[in-house]
Amino acid sequence: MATPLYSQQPRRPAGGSGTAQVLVPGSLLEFKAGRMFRDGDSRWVRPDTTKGVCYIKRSSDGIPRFGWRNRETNRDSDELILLPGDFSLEKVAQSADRVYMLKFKSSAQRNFYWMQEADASNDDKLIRAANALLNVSSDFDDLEDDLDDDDEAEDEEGAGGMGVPPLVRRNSREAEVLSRHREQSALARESPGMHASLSSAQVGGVPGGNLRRASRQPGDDVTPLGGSTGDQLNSLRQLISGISVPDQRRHQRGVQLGDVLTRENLAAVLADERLRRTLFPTLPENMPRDAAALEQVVASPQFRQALGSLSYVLESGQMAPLVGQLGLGPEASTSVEAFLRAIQEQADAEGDGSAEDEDRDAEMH
Amino acid sequence: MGSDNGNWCLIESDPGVFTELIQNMGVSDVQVEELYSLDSASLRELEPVYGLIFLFKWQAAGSPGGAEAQAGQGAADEQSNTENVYFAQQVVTNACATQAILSVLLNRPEIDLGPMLQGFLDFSSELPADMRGLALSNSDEIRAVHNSFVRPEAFLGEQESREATESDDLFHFVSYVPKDGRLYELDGLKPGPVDHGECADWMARAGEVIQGRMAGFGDEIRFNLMAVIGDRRTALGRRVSSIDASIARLLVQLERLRLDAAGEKREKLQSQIGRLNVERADLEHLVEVENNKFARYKRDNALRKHNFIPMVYQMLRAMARKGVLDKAVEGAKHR
Repeated sequence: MATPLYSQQPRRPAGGSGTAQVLVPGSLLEFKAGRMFRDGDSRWVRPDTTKGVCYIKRSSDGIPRFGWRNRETNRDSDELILLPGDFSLEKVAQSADRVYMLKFKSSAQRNFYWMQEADASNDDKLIRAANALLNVSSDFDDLEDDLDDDDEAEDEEGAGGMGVPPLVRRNSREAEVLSRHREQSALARESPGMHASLSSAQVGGVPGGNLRRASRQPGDDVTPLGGSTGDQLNSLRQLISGISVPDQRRHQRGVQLGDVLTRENLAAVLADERLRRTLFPTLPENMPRDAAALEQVVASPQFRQALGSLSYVLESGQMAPLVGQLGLGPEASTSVEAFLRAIQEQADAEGDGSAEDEDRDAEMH
Repeated sequence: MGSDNGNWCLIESDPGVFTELIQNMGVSDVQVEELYSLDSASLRELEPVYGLIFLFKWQAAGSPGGAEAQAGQGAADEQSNTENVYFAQQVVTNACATQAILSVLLNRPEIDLGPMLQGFLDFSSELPADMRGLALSNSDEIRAVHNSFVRPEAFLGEQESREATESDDLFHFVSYVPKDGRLYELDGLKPGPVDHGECADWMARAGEVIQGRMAGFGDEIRFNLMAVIGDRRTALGRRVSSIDASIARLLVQLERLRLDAAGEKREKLQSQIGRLNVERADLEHLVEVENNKFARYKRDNALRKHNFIPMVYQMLRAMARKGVLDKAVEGAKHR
């Protein structure tokens, strides 16, 4: 499909001397690049000459983020949560210049960037690395954990069956990417000849996010993020819908369900076919009964929100009738931790889970 | 709040929720999109745009936002005829999302409302604004659709939630709709519609008004903006059909040309056809994006309504059996 996109040749960064350094602390990969904006509502994009850097970071929720930072002001913008498989970062074929497009499957949004790295010969490698990093399936975050956890070889096999690249490949890929990243930073050169002259206002903006702020405060941790997942967004949703979780931080006393049922912690369960089967009947009716559906649910803001509400309700003792129905003693409804302890005891008492046992569970619903 | 008002649950301000809410009320060919930009170009891309819904943290009278709205009201002249505007006062707090949506839908006669809303409009249009609000809060049908979006575990903390809303931030919806060449702001907490005057381009005017309000809010205010628009797939489908018709016409012309072999003219026709095909492919991509979006809405809404208690229980049980629960609990303590 020949989208008539055109890019005007950006001013070439003049080679200068600069120090090799990581521009965005904590980033997994970064490359110097400027943004490009649509010219009005036309199909033409024009480069903005502000010096910037694209980066990929992983935040505490394990979801990779792609962002752009202005290298002059050190302000971030365009920070996006990218769901694996939902997007691609690719070269714009219609342009002979070093122009790249971040394209989404789930929305019409397209972000354009032009390379500001001094050495053009690394562009392909960088973009491949970026795609690899961003598209690694959900448990990318477990990497470090997995490295010092040798006893989970069995789970790894299971994970491989769920479309997650085998551990070895993932490790080497990250190592490769990281070393490339260092090399790249060393190669990078500042381009002192450029001056910012952004004329057009920001076009498009943040996709999928539920809320924005009129402006960003220094130290503000509420970033106007794209994507519809993430705890930040979720807590904002709760604010808006004003539902039963008043303020998590104020009320947070003990263990929260959300901290226990994390994607990392659930990885071992989701990788186990027998255990996975016990979860299928608890999925919403219109979802397929497979591992991918479970992963989707676990990553969904709705699930996270439900965990928040349930923790709150457990802590406030309102769960007593339900806890009884689950065959747990009354002490289980006094706190999240007591609830978890009761479940562990129940599981221990029932033995190590024979096949019959699980079939019975599967039919419970 | 009298008990005969029934309970209206709080629902999320989300385009997927609003879109399904509208569908479930029996309205055809309407969807809701979140807006990230107020520039006319991006709004025009969404045509037909029926109205805008602005959500913000509610502030008591005397706020800058309020002042702006008052100024707008002052600008109303003798041409202002708010009688044609359907306006209902808000009597039930939690119904405000549905009320904001209805403020747009009921003011756009070109929308096919379906029996539920048409019936409500017919019945309530003769009533004064405060009685309309009461009629809405008493409509069992509309309330049932609205309440189908309640989260299942929310009932558990119902007592709490009521206390929480007292002290928590209150969010408020305001609608902007064009009527008879003028822009009106419909805010259920005001006595009547606010007239923002005559305007050739109501979306541009609404953009100014909303931007003015946002500027007055200062830094701490959270807001979001949604557009009630025609079904994108219908609109895109129409454009595809018209392109197909044009291509067919050009192909016929091309066919005729072959006989007298006019080289330059043929090239021109071929390049025209090529351009149309590119445009068509772009539109089809957008249809695909819409389809994906609706699939996502469907999934998200199913998750919103889903009772997660059995799943949470089974997950924890599975973790216990796998022997990873204790470690996870220890980890959670140190968060």
